[in-house]
Amino acid sequence: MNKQRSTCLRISGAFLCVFAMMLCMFNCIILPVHAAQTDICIVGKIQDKGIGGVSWKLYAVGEKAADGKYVLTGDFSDYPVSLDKIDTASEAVNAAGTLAAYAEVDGIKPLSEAVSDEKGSAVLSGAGKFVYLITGSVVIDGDTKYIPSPMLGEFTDAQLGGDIININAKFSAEDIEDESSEYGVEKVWINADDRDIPESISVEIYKDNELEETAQLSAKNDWKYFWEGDSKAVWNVKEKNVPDDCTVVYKEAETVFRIENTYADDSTDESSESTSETSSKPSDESDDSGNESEDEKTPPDSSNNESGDTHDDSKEQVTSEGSSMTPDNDSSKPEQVTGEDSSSKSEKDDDKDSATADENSEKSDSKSADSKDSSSKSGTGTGTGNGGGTTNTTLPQTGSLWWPVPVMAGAGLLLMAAGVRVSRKKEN
Amino acid sequence: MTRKSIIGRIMIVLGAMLITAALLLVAYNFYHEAQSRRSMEQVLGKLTAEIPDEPQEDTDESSPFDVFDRDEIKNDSNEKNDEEDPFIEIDGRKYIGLITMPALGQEFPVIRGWSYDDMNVAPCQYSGTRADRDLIICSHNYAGFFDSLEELRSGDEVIFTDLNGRRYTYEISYTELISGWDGSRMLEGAKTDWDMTLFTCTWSGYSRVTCRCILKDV
Repeated sequence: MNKQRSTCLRISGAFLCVFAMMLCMFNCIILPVHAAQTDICIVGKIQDKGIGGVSWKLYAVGEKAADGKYVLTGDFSDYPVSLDKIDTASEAVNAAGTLAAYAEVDGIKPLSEAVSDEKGSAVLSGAGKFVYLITGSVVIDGDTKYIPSPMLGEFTDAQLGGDIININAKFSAEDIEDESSEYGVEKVWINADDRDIPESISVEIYKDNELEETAQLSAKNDWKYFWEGDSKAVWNVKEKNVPDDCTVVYKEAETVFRIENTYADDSTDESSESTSETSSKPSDESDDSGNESEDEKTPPDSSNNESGDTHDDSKEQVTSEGSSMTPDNDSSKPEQVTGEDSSSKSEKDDDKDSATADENSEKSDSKSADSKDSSSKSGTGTGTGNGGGTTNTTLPQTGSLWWPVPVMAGAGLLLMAAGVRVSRKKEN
Repeated sequence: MTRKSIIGRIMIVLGAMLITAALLLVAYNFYHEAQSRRSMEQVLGKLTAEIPDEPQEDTDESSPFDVFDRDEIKNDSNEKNDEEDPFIEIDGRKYIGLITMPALGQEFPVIRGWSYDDMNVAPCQYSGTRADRDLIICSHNYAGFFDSLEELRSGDEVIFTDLNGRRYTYEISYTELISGWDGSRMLEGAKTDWDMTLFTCTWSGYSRVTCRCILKDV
């Protein structure tokens, strides 16, 4: 009896041990990946002056699915925005702007929210293994409107493993010249060749997140609508009833909005993708998709939002510290999307403004390496890109050959003097 | 004739040859510089005639929504091409504007991109763009080129005139010497410390006289 009892005890003990080991393994391997959450310190500065009072919001908008594609999740899952067709910095910027507009207008609850202090920094908590969207509120200082660029991307394991993720936000600034401005919204259809596009669409116009009016856009008004509005208010637009097989991109610049509805491209050859618009304006979107690769794509980080940074004569360009990087020389690691992590800023200073992602950056890097080679080999440079692919190279020789002149003349004089002396010595 | 006498004479001949070589090099340099100066003056005349006296806005912008197309070009600036920076082609070279240094009383055309051949004709766009506030212009230190660059002082104005006649006034922020092997330092600080840079070789060719400029006025 005792023997049976001890055998039972041994067996149950063994099971317990195995169960405990499995629990340990589960804790060690599985849990940290999902539970890893880090704080984000976001800093917004303009020429060393912090921008305070910016309400920053962190959203988890998507994740990488089992098939390796990026999909929208949670409150964002129903929006007609594709995370998987982001290959260029501008596409990432557009996706970030679109999702930010939806989040703002629909009042989606953020994961975390913080207001920046007078130094321009704010701490958001809850960064994890998801595709994030960070948005900031517009700040008006005197006659200048500071507009933070929304950021879209994914944190790396290394970033999530650290204590805090530092991100330098990017702002554009607009001078408020008059109390009211003329605003406009335009509708553009892409890949609509053989499809029946709606006769008209409804666009809701929001002022400071309150519905102001609903405009009808159709071929009759050339898919455009204009209105007068308060220059200091924050304006947003939202298209109602987006056709099922369309993805939407909202673009905003100065005082105009563009809503692009892109129909799914049936053609497998994306390089031959044709773009047709009912609007008179062409779109460059199809150009960007020409080099798409479907394998294991990671959406580019949109923190390099340059749309608001376009330096116009009438518009002051302001960039934050972290924005001194360009898509040309991105140093972000392949297979990872990062925010403008200021911890690596010093490395990136040479590279200037960048925050594109893997494929795009790889292309850029190889491009800049190529031009570097050509620069050093042939002694030429394009001079057109940011940096021109000339980082860490020797600078061109920009002078006449003057230094040999005194050397040769001095040596000649010395030789002549010595020769005369030797000859005279003999005569003496 | 003794051996010492022969050595003495050989030394005199060698010395004379070295002095002659130095003189020939001086003559060549002067000739080459004069030729380059002539070429630049010709180009400057043609380019100045092309650039309007009064600034002109881009006339092809007919709609406020055109800003999106402009921004898209800027955002996807990984591959900057000929369409992005306006240029005028003169004698097979593309020119993007003029650089004026009122303190020195000098004006130069600026060639898009750079090569040693191009630098014999005019200062060149070494890197960056004016719009991106990281334009770097390099030039030979030939007489009449950037030979007087080191005479510029902080606060002196440098004006970049684009092809539409818009004048961007910069102010010299500081001048520094950068080693000819330190290309990365030349690029450092764009947009934050400076908006435009001009550089040329020192007399020895070892370093580069570098003037950092800040955009003051448009």
